[in-house]
Amino acid sequence: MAIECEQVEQILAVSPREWSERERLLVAEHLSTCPACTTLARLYANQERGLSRLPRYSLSPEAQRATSWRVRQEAHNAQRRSRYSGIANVAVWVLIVGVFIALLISIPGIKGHPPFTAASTPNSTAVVGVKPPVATHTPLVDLPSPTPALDTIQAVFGAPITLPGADLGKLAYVQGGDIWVVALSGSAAQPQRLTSDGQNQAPRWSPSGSWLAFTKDQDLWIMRVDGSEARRIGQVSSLASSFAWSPMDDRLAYLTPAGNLVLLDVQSGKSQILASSVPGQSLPAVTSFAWRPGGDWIAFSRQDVLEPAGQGQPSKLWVSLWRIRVTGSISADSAEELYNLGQPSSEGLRVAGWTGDGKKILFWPDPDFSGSILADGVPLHAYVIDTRQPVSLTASLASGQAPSLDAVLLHPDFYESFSSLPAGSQLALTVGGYRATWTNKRLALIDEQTGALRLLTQPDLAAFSPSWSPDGSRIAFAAMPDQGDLVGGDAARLGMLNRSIYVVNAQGDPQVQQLTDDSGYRDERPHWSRDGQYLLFPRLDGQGLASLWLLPASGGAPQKLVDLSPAPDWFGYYGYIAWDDLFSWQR
Amino acid sequence: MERTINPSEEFETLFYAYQQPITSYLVNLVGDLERAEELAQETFLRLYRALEQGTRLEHPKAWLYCISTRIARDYFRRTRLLSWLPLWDADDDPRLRAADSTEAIADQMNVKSALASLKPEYRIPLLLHLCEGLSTLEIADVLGISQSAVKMRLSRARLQFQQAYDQVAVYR
Repeated sequence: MAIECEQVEQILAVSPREWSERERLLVAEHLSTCPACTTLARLYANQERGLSRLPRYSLSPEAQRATSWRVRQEAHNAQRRSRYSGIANVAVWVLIVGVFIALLISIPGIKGHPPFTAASTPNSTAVVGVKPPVATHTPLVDLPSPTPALDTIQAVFGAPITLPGADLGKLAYVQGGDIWVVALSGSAAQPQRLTSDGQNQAPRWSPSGSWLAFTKDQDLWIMRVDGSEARRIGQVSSLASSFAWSPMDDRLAYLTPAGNLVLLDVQSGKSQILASSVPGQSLPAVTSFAWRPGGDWIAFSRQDVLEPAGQGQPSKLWVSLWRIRVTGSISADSAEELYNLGQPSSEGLRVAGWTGDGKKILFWPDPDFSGSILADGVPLHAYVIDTRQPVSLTASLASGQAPSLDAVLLHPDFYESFSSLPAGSQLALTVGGYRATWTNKRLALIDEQTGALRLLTQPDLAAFSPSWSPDGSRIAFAAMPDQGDLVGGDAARLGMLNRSIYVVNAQGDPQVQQLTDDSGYRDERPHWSRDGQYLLFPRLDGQGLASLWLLPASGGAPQKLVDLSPAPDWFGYYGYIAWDDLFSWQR
Repeated sequence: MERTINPSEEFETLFYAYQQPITSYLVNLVGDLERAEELAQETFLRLYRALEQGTRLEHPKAWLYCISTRIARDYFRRTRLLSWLPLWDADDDPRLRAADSTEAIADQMNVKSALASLKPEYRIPLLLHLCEGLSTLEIADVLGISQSAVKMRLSRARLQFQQAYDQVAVYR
């Protein structure tokens, strides 16, 4: 059906997350033949990106204190009003009764009731001596003690949490834009707030559990877990996964906005640049990195400008995959190039991680340096250190149909390795192209030694976020019924309220078991407790409020632990929420 | 049996959940951090009063945006500042200073300047939709107008924003 530019303008003015399927098709059809509207669509996409990246602001601690004080005053005034109202009611009743009795007494002919005088009526106090009961003992204008719940706006300690009694490690989470920590052991725990400016997110425990790294706007910070020694490390890249602790010790690697890869030893306070941009280069050099499971190597991708952009031509780039040893005496000169995509390179590369045995580096090719193609996922590859060759891990799923099943989205919790001796290591991952998380997503298991791949879930479930149980026997994940492309709007919002936590056995025939089933909540991103008895997961309710819950891994009623706020937008990135920005669990 | 709502607990939950979105919205709406904090305080005070009076808030998010918008409009009226002219200076705004690079700061300033040039009737739905993530239906609820009117305003707002953005980007 033909559609006029004016109609398209109106549809484009609304965010795509709200488009109906019909609108999406109409726009796609129109844009294929109308360059002017195509330009407008591009401008509006930039507009949306620009506006959504405006800084976020929290009330300053002073303003929070002022709000708390004003609310307390309000509570006090309400209490006073209520008291006055009580006194007034009593006074009115006393007056009515008094007038009534006085009338009775003054009526001629009623014997035994002489005219009322206080002096001559011994029983008169029974009437006129009635005093407002509250006024005798309670001062009218005393300041009430602060309402406990309101006081917690500024309190360092939060409300106690009831726990099942097991030792469940420590939790760091974001509430009111501040970092809170709580030890999940015993039958009760008391959260403690470590920051107070309401600007913080992405807490991450150091391996020793002594430090927390977190971000404040674009700055990376660290502090001890009691909130002391907080210090700003520097700006970090706006790319996802821009900082990560070593899996083994308290060293932190991070990417700067200029594309330098820096290693900070928190104990000594010394930092070292592992890879940096060529001076004057306009593009960031290092674009992604990942620690090897043993914490002895870091793999990273870099891009170097061979020829700057000019005369309508993009820059000519040299894209490569590197590794650097980060034990002993560390030198940037010891970095080793493993693989490159030609000079100039026709595509980019993003490091995803390492296999559990540390023998392969997982990466995505970045076809045509296209953010749009990457957003819909691309096949996951592995660079084999021994053979020095890249291999595709998901090629066996390629079918030539769109959307393809061999593509993997670039979300950090879409894959997780499990390694054990002598069983070897396996990679659980979410496969399925197309950026929306509500359709065409299945769980797959890859034997990292042989490359054999098998699917664990059926097409009727849109499944993602696999998490290995500590013994490697089960995988927990989030899933919802796959009803095709929900596009956006209420169809997507309500559809995602059907997202629940599931588990599937990793060995033998896959048996899928649904653990949560509450259509009032959208359950995602499960994590196992160290003993494999519990699952921790975040959920978003129909009002858009977020919270963390604990669930027995054998099934049963989940228990709410804490609220997370500010809550993420329900749409996230086509149904994907970066929950790691809101909590971190050290088990 | 219906659960008894404790206004203080309810207030605390909503305050934590929404103080950042509401403050951000008001900063971008009035263009002044200090003023926005005052308006946000007033918003939360009204929230407490409503809860204390036993008002059941079916949609607290929409309610808070609605009240904060009204308070901001009153502020505009009171100060006769119908179209505020901000002095977006990166030195005055720590959040802008924290931006990645000079380019990022410049772009955020361009975006803010373009926003500032819009009349509140266009600036409000644009902020609610693209910065705060409200749907057109929710915005209709907040503003008390029809959903189609919201879409119409958004369409005009986006065209005007683009023109303003192109202008400020050229002159910087």
